[in-house]
Amino acid sequence: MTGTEHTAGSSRRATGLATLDRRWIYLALAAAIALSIVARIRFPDTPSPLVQAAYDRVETLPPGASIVMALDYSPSSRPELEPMAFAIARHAMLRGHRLILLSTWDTGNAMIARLCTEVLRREFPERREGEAWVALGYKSGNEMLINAIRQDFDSMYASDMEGRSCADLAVLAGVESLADCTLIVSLSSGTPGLKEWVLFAGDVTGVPVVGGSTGVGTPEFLPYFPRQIRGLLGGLKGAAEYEAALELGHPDFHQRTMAATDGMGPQAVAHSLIVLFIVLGNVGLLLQRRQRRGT
Amino acid sequence: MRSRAPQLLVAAVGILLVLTAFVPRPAPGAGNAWQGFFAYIDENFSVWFNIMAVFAFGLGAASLLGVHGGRVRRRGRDWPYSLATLLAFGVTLLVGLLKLGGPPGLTGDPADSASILGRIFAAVVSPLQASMFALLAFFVASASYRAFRVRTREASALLAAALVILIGRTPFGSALTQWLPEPLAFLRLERLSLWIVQVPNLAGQRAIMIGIALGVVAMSLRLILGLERGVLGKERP
Amino acid sequence: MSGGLHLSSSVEVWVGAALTLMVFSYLWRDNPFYKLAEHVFVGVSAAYVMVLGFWTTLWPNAIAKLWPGAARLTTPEAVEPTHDWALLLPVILGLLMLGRLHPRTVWLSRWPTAFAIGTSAGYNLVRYLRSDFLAQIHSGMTPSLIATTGGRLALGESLSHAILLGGTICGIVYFTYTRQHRGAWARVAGTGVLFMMVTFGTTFGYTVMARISLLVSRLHFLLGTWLGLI
Repeated sequence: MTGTEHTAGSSRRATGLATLDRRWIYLALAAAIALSIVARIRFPDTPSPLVQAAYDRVETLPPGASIVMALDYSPSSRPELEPMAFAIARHAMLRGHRLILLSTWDTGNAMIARLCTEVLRREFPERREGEAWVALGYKSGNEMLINAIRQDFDSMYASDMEGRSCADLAVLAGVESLADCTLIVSLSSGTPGLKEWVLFAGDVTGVPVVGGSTGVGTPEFLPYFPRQIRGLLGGLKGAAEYEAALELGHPDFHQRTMAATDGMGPQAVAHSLIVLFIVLGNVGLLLQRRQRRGT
Repeated sequence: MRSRAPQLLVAAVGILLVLTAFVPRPAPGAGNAWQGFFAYIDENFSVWFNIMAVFAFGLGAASLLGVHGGRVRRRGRDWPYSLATLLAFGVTLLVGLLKLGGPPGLTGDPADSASILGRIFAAVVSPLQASMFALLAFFVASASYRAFRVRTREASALLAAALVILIGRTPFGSALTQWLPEPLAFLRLERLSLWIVQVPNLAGQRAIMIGIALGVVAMSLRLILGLERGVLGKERP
Repeated sequence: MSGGLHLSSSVEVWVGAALTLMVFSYLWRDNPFYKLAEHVFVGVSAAYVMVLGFWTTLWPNAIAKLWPGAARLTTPEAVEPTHDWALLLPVILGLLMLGRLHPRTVWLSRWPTAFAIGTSAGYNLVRYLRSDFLAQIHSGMTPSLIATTGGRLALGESLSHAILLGGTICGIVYFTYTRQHRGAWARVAGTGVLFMMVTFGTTFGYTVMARISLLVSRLHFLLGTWLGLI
């Protein structure tokens, strides 16, 4: 290739890269994810220290410990947080703990109902509702809800989601407020969420907090680890790592669904594509700079 | 008077709640009257706040009706869409408040999966909310291609951190750099990404967190002391 | 792959799939289908929040406690025998909040607003000071020189601790706007900016992860739940 041809070629490439229609990028991303879903690409995972700390916290509680699990998320973040909720609920049931489910999000009732139907009732029929777990549901007020139940569950929850009196539930025996619980698990996709559980519950009562967050929120919770948050699951990867930890720790237990582990294959493919986009974008920039210098 | 008295309420409520943090909670049946008083307001002000929050939802809904109802009345721009909003709002509110379907009468969870509201949630709210947020994946991909450029030293630091996290937090990260010998194991992408998250990222996040905390404390003090008056609205002339 | 289409027979799934495609049509360009989906979403969501607020909080925590007879309609097993008249106060304050809807009654809404602001300010002042200021300083005060079990210097860990402490201080210096960034102070603040950039890069990486997870789930719904391809 002569010098002129080379310049013209790189110029075309630079222009092409700079003016690429965004819809090609959309198509490439959708196609890559769709193909990897259909091909069922799956990778094994291992728990990172942050996730292992969360797992160990649940694992080492004495059987019968009462865990408050707040499902503070909505359908928009369900893909990341629901696998965490499923895995932690399974773990708690396997270890014989008591689960108290509630939410500070209005969409929380639907999320709690899914957990009850898909995991608690289906996989652990011997662990009865009202004895091993209770779904208290959503109440308005955001962090003020946390503040109210920090002092007295009864001030906000006289009955569970189905309308049963909380006073008659064995699962709540000896649990009058958040301070009486052994562990708080907050699965959060925004405000109110993990931060509010740390500020208004964990740091005030001294009850340890374990958190799960969407990928977007994860970095901002790092400063709380390990003193104010005892373990942290970050995004789908964190959920997949918890599934892996549960598989390693309880090899006899078969997890009926492992949505996070299944999702990490397409996730890895999409990440690689995004990295490719970043590299291509910068190559385009370099070519343009070179072209400008040439003219 | 109309704005000064509420301002006094802000100060009174704020100061009382700050004080609750310093008054020990009495054991059941013990403690003096002051301890009992502070325990009462600590618990009940939160409960009252939670109840008032529902009226705020009503206020938001009324505002929504005002905006879209006005547009439909005036036959303003895109009014048929506003009509769709009003219809969707009305139908959902009606079936929800009457608890149609699901558990008998007015008992049970209003969003029970067998109720009409529960079915609206599953068929409409859930896919719409999830899809709206999933759209962002496409925009992030496009932004990665168009805007994520190595132009300055700062941009390079941002880009490098993002690349290591993007690859290191996937199973590819481990596979790509598994060959590195043990003395250089800290350079394996999955370890490097964890290090970035737990060291330089943590440093930045902690600085931001301390900065925001000081801002919140300062703003709370200004509110309690009445230095931020605009929040209560303007006095009518 | 299970092979072939196995279309769902659920009405909810078909409605969900249609709405998903209507939203995704925005990727091509803004269009009436997307606008319709967007407006329906706003209407349904606003009503959903109201309904949940009413049945989960206003009814059981205010109405049923003021008039226990009302609780028999919803929670016959959890009827409290006494009236809690103090709850009239938040109900009245809540009603005053609706004063914002008319210009002549806006002033009434200042009372509930004042209560809400006072409550938030009072709690936030203490909580943020404790958890995000004092506790963070406490967590940051870790020794920078770490020894191994054999008593030797753990170089990597010590370096990480030093970077963490130094980065935090540089970041705080950057946020100090009351002093002009000049000379050595500017260099420290500049280093703080670099740490911020790494923080934002990390956040970007995690944000991509989050958004992709949502898209994977949506495509899973379309290909699996709706079309039955997987």
